[in-house]
Amino acid sequence: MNAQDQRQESGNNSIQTTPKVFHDEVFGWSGLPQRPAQGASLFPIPERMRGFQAEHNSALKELRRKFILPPDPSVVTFLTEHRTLPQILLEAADHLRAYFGADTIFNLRAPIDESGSRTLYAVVMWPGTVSAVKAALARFDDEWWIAHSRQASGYLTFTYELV
Amino acid sequence: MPELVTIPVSFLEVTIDYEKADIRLLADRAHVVQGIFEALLPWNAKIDDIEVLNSGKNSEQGVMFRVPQKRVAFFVGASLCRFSRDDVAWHLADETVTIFEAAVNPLTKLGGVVLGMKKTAVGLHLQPRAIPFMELLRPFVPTQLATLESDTIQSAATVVKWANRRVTIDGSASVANAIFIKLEREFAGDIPFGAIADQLSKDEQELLEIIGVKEKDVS
Repeated sequence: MNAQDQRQESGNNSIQTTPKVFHDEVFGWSGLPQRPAQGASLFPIPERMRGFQAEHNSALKELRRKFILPPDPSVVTFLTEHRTLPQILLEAADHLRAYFGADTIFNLRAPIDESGSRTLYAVVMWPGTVSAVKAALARFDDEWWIAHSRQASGYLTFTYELV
Repeated sequence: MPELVTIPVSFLEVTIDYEKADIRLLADRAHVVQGIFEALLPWNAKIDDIEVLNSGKNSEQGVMFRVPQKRVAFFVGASLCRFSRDDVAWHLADETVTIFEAAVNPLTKLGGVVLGMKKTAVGLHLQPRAIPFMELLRPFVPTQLATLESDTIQSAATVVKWANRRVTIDGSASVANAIFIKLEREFAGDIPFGAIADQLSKDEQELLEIIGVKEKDVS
């Protein structure tokens, strides 16, 4: 959270929050509007894809304000491959703060498990006792996460780490 | 022991005022634009990444060149030019100076512009992994102000200014649990870019030590 109202980015609009995705390569999008091909007006797919991409980039930018992402691209890549997760996490963020405290730090990690598949973990970095964090996690699960977990299709787990 | 941090967002900006504004750069500038474009070709500059800015005050109008591959933008106006690069790091300093000089040279050689004061800014978002960002900011909160309320302080900013330098320490508005630092320094027009980079590197190191952090090696 900033205290002073000052621009904190370069403003040159070159920041890419996601790695290259397939339509960048397929359509060779340079970031500027392109003239649609003849006959494409009924199905302006590149335009719609750009819209989806812009929404996704915006969600990722917002996620960076609420969760700590690792320096490697594992989490961003995982979120790009599972496009429903950023929105679920953004909704979860306020609930996490309510159950774990406004000053608590939340990390995102996407490690590869023994079977070679990835799961996204939202990790509460907990400075207090085990019993307190377990109780808060149980309340978060019961009162919010269980009702919303189906949307994540098993790809998202909330857990904690003692610090 | 310094707290280890990562730097998920960073940028460098260099704004150079011309000794004298030249209105021809808003009208008869095709040869200058072509020269800068050709100079940026080695970094895959594309014609579609050139934007002509025709709105706003005369001082805000000009031509913006973007080099997405290097996350570089270069604006040329009638009274100043501005170079910026995102995701900067010191191991990229030589490359950054090379791109910068390539972009600026056509302006002086083809446009006849005489460069004046160079205003530089380095912005870094420093993210500790486990401790709250306020622990890094707290030493910079004056005790007279900290005791005004019994509530927990949510954020704080410190700005210190000298004749040719300014330092800002703030909470980050872009990244979770991070602080934002901005180091601004002005250099005379005749100082070479290499010397400027050396000074900025020293400034950054000095400030990181004062804050008590060290960049975590993520390689």
